[in-house]
Amino acid sequence: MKYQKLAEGPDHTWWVLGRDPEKIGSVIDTNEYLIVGEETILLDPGGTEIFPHVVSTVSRIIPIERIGHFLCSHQDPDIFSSLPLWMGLCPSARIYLSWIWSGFVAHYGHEYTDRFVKVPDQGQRLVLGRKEFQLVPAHYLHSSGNFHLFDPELGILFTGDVGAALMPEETIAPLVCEDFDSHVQYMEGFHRRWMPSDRARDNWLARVSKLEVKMICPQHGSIFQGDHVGRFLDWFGGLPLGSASA
Amino acid sequence: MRNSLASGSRLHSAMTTTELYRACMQLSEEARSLQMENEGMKRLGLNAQVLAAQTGQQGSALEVIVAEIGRLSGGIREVLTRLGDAAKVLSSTAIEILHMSHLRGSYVLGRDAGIEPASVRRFDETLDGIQRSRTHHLDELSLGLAQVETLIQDLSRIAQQIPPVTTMIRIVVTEITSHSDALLGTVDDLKGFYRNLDEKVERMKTIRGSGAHRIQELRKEDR
Repeated sequence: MKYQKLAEGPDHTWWVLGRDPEKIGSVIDTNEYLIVGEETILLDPGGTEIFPHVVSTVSRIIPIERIGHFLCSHQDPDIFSSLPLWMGLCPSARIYLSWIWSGFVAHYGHEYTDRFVKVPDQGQRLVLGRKEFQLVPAHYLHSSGNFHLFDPELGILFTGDVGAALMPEETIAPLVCEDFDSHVQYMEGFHRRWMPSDRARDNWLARVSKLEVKMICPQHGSIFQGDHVGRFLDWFGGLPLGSASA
Repeated sequence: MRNSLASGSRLHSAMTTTELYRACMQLSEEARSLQMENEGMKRLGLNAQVLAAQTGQQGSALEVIVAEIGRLSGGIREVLTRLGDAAKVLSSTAIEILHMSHLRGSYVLGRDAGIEPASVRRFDETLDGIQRSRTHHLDELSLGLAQVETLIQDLSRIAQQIPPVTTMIRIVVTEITSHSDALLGTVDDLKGFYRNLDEKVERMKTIRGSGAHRIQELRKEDR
């Protein structure tokens, strides 16, 4: 699995993991983000199938036991079906997830529910050591209980499935989007199909417009930075959602 | 290549564990269905008791048979209850093994993918914990299967006592003029029950053997 440093502040660093060349073709490609600082969090650690490669790669960056927090942006299997495997390695880590999903995510491992931090609908601050992040509500994008994570210091917004691109199997998305116009074809169908509500999208855009976003990091596909952040938000704002099914 | 070998071995391990789990569930199912059929055996004993009462003086010979059917039914019920309890333990242990094998497979693949030295201790401790738990459950399952084997033998021994009882009823029927049709019906019912019990005992032996074989395979994988 490939990994690289994404951004660095005075005392915390963002890493991105993904583009695993050994990944089985039928398993959708995902990006995992690791924020290493005084305390460490792994965002959407991924499914059981990719766990061996994620854990191997994370161990190249930090000792595994340093992971004290996980974000589970929503309930899908590619987000955190590896929960019991990670909890074996990081037994005291806390898992941040929407309160509405706690009973469902418990199906991945009920033994760990006491580690769940049930995030209320309005989101919350996430304090890791001296760093403070925000859990930004993104309900119905696509999940009915969905959170993104914003790092105000570096201006990085982790957006889960918003901004995701599904690439054909033979195509590897560049880690950072290089050509927005040609990238749209890989995002459009996904967003039209998976994101059901224009109203939810508009609420999210209103919230995000108040943040100083320099980088948008989705869980699938390429990262947007620089001008591409604004281009993505404009494109997403004009897309008729919930319009891809018959 | 390494990945496809690892996937192949993981698949084989998953199949072996699933087969083991299936064997335990089948044993549970067989024990449960036999328990239900044994209710029929109990009813048969009660019917014979009624017939004995209705047959008046000639019924004394029948009473011996009634007592014999009751004894067999009681013996079968006792073994089946213990078998049912053992099967419940086997099922829950098999579920634990399924879970542990799944975790173990993923951790082994992670180790094969390469864990850095700083994380190796924690990783190996976790893997060892899973491994120990799996071995413990495999031992538990082996013991459970050995217990089941003894119970199946007991069941088989009791089942062998049904044919002499049917012969006894036939002899009595020649001496009793009234209710002979009902008594011959009892013989047929007992024969049917015996045939079914015998088949189920054989099936349980095969399932137990298959479970023991799967445990051996999983242990080989651990070495």
